[in-house]
Parts: sequence; C-alpha cells; structure tokens
Amino acid sequence: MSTNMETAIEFANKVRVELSHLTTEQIADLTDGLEADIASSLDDGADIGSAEKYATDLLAAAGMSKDIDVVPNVVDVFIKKVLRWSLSISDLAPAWWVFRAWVATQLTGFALFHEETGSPAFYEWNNRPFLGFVLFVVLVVLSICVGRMNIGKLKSVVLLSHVVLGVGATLIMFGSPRTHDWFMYSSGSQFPTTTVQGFTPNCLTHEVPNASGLLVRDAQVIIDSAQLDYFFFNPEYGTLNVVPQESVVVNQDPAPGTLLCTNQQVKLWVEWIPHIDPLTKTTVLPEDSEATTTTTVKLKATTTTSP
Amino acid sequence: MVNSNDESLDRSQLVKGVLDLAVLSALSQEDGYGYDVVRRLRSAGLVDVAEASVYGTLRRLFATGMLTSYVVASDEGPHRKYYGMTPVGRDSIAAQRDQWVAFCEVINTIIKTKEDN
Repeated sequence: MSTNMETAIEFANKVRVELSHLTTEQIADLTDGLEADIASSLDDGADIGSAEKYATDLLAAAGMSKDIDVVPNVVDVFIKKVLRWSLSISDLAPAWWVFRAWVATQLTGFALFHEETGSPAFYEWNNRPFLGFVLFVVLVVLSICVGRMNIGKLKSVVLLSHVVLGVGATLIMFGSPRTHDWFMYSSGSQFPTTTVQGFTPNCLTHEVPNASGLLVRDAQVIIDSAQLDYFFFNPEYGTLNVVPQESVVVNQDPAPGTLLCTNQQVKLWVEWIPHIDPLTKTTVLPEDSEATTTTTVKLKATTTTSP
Repeated sequence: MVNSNDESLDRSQLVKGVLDLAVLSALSQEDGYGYDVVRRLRSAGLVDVAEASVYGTLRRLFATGMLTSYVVASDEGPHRKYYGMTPVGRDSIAAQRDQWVAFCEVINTIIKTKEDN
C-alpha cells in the first residue's frame, strides 16, 4: 500500500468523524470509495485541505446540509471530540519513535554492562554517558527511518521487535533484583519485615540469612542487608574486635531462617586466625607478609543481647 | 477557462448552479469514478471545482436515479466506486442543456443590451 493510500485512508476516517452526526447508512453512502478517490488526488499532487471543510463541501453538494444540527447535540460534540483525539494519536508517532529508541538504548546498556556495573536498570550508561548518547542518537535515527518507511510485509517484524522491547523493559523493571532493590530504596521503603506475636512479641523481626561458608566481607554485606547486627567469635579467643576480611565464617548462631528483632545480633564463628593476637585483639601480620595483603574490618557492635 | 481569483466566490456560485449538468455531461460518454470525473471537469476548464463538491454531487445524482453505480475491487487497496448514466440521467441532461442554453441566451441578451446602451 502506497503512502498516499495510507494518508487517504487516514483522511477519509477523519471525514467520517466530521460526519458522525449522520446515520451509519448516510456516512457509508457519502464516503464509500472515498479513499481511492483521495489517493488519486494525492497522486496528482492536489491539496485536499482539512477534513472539516471537505466534509462540509461533501454534505452541501449531496444536498444533506439540512441534516446538520443548527445547535449541535452535546453528546455528538463530545463523541466527535473523542474520535478526533483518537485519530490524532497517530500524530504522536515522532514521540513514540524517540521513546522506543530510548528503551532500546537502555536495554542495550543492561545487556552489555549490567553484570559489570551492578547498577540498577536504566543507570547502566552512567559510567559511559558519551557512548550512551551516541548510541541513543543512532537508534533515534534508525527508529525514525523505520517509522517513516513503508514497512509493508515487514510489519510483523516491526511488531515483533516492539514486543521484544516491551517484554525486555518489563523484565528489567520487575525481574532484576538489583532494580527491584533500587526501587525499594529510592521510594524510602525498607526491606520486607513482619511483626510476629508470641516468642518475640510486638517487635519488628528480620529473618537471619545464611552466612556460613562466606568470607567475612560477604557475610557482613548479607547480614547488613537483613538489618541485623552481628559480632565475630572464635572459640579460643572469644569475641573479636578485628577480623581479616579473608577469614571464613564457619558457623553462626542463630541458624539461618530464625527471626530476630531489629538490632539483635547474629554470632558469626570464624575459623582460627593465626594472625590475630588474642590478647590485643588486633591483626598481627606475619613478618614476611606485606601490609597490603591483609585488610581488616571494623565491626559494628561487640555486645550481645538475647531475644 | 474558469480560474480562482478575486471573483472566485461568484464563480463558485456559478459552478454550483451548473455542477449537476457538468457532472452528468462528464459521464455521458464513459463511466468513471469520482476523481476521474474531477479530472475530466478540470481538463475541460473547471480547474477550481472542489473535489468534495463533485463527490457529493455524484452521490446526490445517484440517489435521485440519474446515475448508476458499481464497485470495482482493487488489489492495491480500497475499491473504487464507478458511476454511469441511467436513461433518467440522459433525459435530464437534455432538459438541463436546453435550460442552460436558454438561460445563457437571456443573459447574453441582457449583457448586449447594456453594452449597446
């Protein structure tokens, strides 16, 4: 279908909207075959003017001007406005072309850099703003070209690409844990919590995560995220103030899945650390090691409270 | 040739009065679709005739039985609606032509009388 024919179909529909105060049969009688005539006119380079004027001329020549209400019915006016608005949605095509290019840019950034940056979706290009901008411009140009071309048989391909864009954006919005967390934090929400009755009455509880087998630094992150306090413990030296990051948590108390109130502590058992002086509880590096190979973690709390 | 200029309003009124006769005459030799009729009128000199006016006139002449209509399907898009003359239309052309000629003679007589004075 030619571009002129598409324009003619769109114009004929607008003319029908202008005639919407007539009966369906009258509209059909007046506009049957109109698309082909308008397309021919456009092929000749004619200016078809406005749909409103066109409809007025059509009515007058057909001897149906008397069918136009002198004072338009309010409902008819409303319906006509709605129909005009729905037809004018197609005028928003340029905005849609830019929007889909933006979505494609974000999806590309997510696919390329999400694992590397760990940023929430839609922030992947923060570290590469110029590259992101260039890609966006290229995709806008591509999108406009696709939008303006006569896609014909490629219509199904374009439709499929829109489905892919839509599904991809939806998965990023709701399927990425990091994005989900970002939305949670940015909206001021806390991690999910529950209030339980009985053993720990009327306190805000958090589920103890499984930190056993993790490095100290990883265990800290995971327990911080659960909004619980913790302390490190070794059977030989008791509570430790300083623990090397590369130490491993070998056990924990309470067990994973237990509910604790806010600020109650999780006891993390770390394996025997020969570098720690149990008396001073500070890191003692071997004489032949370099200072940079061992880093220490300052603990959040050292006191224990019972549930 | 009838062109658009400062007097286009008068001319458009003139065209309105004889559009039925013009459209019927354009279809008297051969059937045609809407824009085809517009082309015939414009090539004959009615360059400023409005397309919608022609299409509306075709619908009205069809409704009054002066024209017949049939649809021709197209592989490339919407169908075309063709119009052709009916016997009633042919009779009407003859009557309208006589009226027009008589009307022109009257007007010419008036104009000549004014010029002579």
